[in-house]
Formats: sequence, structure tokens, C-alpha cells
Amino acid sequence: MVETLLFIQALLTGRASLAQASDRELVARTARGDGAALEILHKRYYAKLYKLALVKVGNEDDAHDIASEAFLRAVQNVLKLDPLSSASLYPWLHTVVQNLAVDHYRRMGQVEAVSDTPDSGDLLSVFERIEDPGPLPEDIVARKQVQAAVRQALAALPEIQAQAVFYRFIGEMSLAEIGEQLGKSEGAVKSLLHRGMLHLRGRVREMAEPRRRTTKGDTGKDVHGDTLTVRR
Amino acid sequence: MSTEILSQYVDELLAGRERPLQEYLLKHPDKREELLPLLVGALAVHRTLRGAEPKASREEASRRRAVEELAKVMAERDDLTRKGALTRLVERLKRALGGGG
Repeated sequence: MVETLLFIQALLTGRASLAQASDRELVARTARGDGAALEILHKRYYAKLYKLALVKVGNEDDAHDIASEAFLRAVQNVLKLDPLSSASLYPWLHTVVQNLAVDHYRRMGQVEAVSDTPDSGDLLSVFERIEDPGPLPEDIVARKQVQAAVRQALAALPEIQAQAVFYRFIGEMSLAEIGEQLGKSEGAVKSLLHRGMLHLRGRVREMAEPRRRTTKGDTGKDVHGDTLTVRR
Repeated sequence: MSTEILSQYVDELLAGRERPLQEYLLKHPDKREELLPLLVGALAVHRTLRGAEPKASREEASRRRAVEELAKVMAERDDLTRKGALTRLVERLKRALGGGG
């Protein structure tokens, strides 16, 4: 009985220590066929890859397919990946997701719009409001339609700024780690994040402008070049 | 300066401390106009990404597929290793026989 309990304890401790293991160790174990190590890597990164894919393709089902496919690619390449050249497996997976998103668009033959109708006007008003008598910015950015607008604006960031923003917010990588991946100094990464946020506001403004025009009774074209319906 | 504040604010967001935006802006009233779009942007990106959680059933299915794929990769590797060992043995025997003849 005591032996059984000790065995269970050892098993649990081993599992707990595996959960704390570095990516390099987990990749090495996976390359030796350790499914438990692979499961921990999957738990560590699946949600992050899903979020990145969701921003890129704007559709939940496709985002799941892409995140899952990225993991299959990692497994198929695990013998080549070991020993892992960087401290984290995330940058490698990130690149695979990006490539899969590009393939997705090629297959579709066009750039898809985000499925929700984004309400960029709300977000823009928060970006631009200095005197603040209305709802808190925190409340507004929690709205689903505003989040759809943010996803759409993120997908349109210039590539290098997008890399920095996604590495920081999704990969939760430090400035130094991002700098290493992008071949830039920490200061340059900070500056990229800064420019990324400003670009985001610019993009949200572009998205909101046609909406503003239509509410005033004007006609015009939206950001995709489609003629807008006039609302009176 | 605003680059530094933004960086600090993102650190806090990622650490799970969603310190209200207003506090930052109140602390730096002279920089409010400059900071507002940056901090609202950071908060919006953080909330948007945090709110987009995958479906548990799809995550679980993906995990199972990955583990199955690993078993396949390992089986292929073992097969290749066995074939490789056999090939090497045959080559060695051929050389030995050739050298002896």
C-alpha cells in the first residue's frame, strides 16, 4: 500500500517537474518518443497558435485547423528540431502558423473579411477621446464587435510591427527575445511596439471613416473599395 | 518616454495586472494626449487576444492527433534504423566476402 502511494507520488512529481521543463528538454524528450513531453508542449502553445491564426485568418474553425496542423508539422520535424536552437519552440511554431495562413489565403484565392461586423467607430472614439465623460475604455474594448475591429486592424499591421506585437502579446516573449528573433536591439523592439500601436489607431480610423460618412448621409467607398449604402 | 511607459504597461497587462488605464493617464496628465492611443491600443490588443480562447474539444482533438503522429514518426524512425542496420550488415558481409575471395 505504502509502496503504491510512493509510486503514485513519484509519478505525480515527475509529471509536475516535466511541466516546468524547458522547451529544449521537452523537444529532446519528444524526439525520443515521449508523448507526455509532447502533451506539455501542446498545452503550452496551442492556445497561442490558435490566437495568432485567428488574427491572421479571422475564422475560428480555420484557426483551429492551422494551430493543429502547426503541431503536426512540429512532430514530423521533431528529429530535426532536436537540439532546439533557441530557448523557446514558439518562434518556430509562429513561423509555421504564418506560412499556413498564407497558404490558406492562396487556397481561398482572396483575402477574407473578418466574419463579425467590426464596430471600429466605438474604438476610435476611445482612442481619440481626451476628456472622458463616457464609458470607460476598459468597458468599450471588452465588446465583441470592437475586438473584431482590433483583430482586423492587427491583421493589417506592417509585417515587422505585426511580428513584434504578436511575439510580445501572444508569444509573451521578452523584449530581448524578440530582439534576438528580429535581429534588433531592445530599444528598436520598443519602438516597433510603439509604432504598431499608432498604426493600429490609424487603421481603426480608416475603418471607421466610411461608417462616419454614411451616418452623415454621404456616399463613399469602404476600406475594401466597396460602395457603401447610404443610411438616412 | 511614452515608449517606456507603453512597454511598462504591456508588462503589467501580460503579468495579469490589468491596472486601469485611467491611473496611468492621471499619473501623466501632460502626456495624456500622446499616451491615450498607445495605452488604449495595448489594452485593446491584450483584451482581444486574451478573449479569443480555443474550443476545448478542438484543442483536445489536436493533442490526440499530435501524439498519434509522434507514434507514427517514431515507428518510421525505428523501421529506418532497422533497415539501415541491416543494410550496413549486408555491406559489411559483402566487403568481408569480397576481401576473402
